[in-house]
Amino acid sequence: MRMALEVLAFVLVAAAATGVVATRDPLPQSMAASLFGLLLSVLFMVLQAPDVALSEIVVGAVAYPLMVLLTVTKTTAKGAQ
Amino acid sequence: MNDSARRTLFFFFAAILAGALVAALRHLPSFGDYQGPYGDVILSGCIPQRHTPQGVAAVTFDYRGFDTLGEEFILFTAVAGVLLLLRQQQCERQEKPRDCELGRAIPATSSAVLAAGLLMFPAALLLGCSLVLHGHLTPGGGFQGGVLLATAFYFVYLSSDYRDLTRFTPDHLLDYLEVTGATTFALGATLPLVLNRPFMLNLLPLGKTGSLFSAGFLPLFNCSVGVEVGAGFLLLIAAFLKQVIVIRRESDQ
Repeated sequence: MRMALEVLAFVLVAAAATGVVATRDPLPQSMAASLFGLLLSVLFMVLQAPDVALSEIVVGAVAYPLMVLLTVTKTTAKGAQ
Repeated sequence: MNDSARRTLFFFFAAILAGALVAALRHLPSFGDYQGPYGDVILSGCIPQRHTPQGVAAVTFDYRGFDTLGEEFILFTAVAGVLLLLRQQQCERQEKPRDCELGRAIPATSSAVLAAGLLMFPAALLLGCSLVLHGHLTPGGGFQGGVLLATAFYFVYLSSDYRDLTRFTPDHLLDYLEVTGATTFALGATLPLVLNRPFMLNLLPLGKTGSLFSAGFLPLFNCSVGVEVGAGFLLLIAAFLKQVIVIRRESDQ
């Protein structure tokens, strides 16, 4: 059971990471990165590292994609050029 | 260099890299087979020596607290750098937050989102405080609790708007909080030097294992890091939000 969970978490993380790389447009990419961060925190949890999982949820799934999102908004806003 | 030559070169080195990777992976210890001595030493030592059941906190804030102090100031410097870069330039002006996409019908915040925000704000705040305060007893700690504390205020932004967020988290207060957190950690770490003892020696009474006030410096360092990280993250996101919402170039109308 535990083994199956670990394998599932690893496969999901690998798939999400590939998805992030395959997404070329920064806007959807920030969403993909958010999903990747969430899955990564699940993997950390499954591997019994709750400390790392907790910070990964906020930093990887919320703060980092939010910064990318805001940067994209700022740099593509009307009249930014 | 043309495309095919470039591709040949890539495949040549990719094959070498793949070969090296496979050779290295074959000699890795099997999954979960921990061989190093330090983990066992820490786990058997952290309760008798530091009166804390949390081996991770004992390592990050005591045995290797020196590294955490460095990381703390990496974060501090990173936040300072971002704030410096994203400051209002001479060619820019601030304007009142307004909707730039005119002619768009914005639905009012739904009562469901508002209710979720109202519920999640105190919940996240409480969980953050709990993680910071119990950092030396259960998984969590200053960094994890600190980022969660910052997240609590994002619920204010999500369920309301930018003006409410700035009212809840004034920049100058955050500046003070961030500096106070970082300074407390640094001063606590250097205090033993003043008393002619080794750097970062755990001077405070160790207390009873498992109680809130135990493990000497650990709760204090967790709190200072929690305050610093929480304030730092809020400052960071606030700087980004300000760039998007209120700072405009002089030339733009």
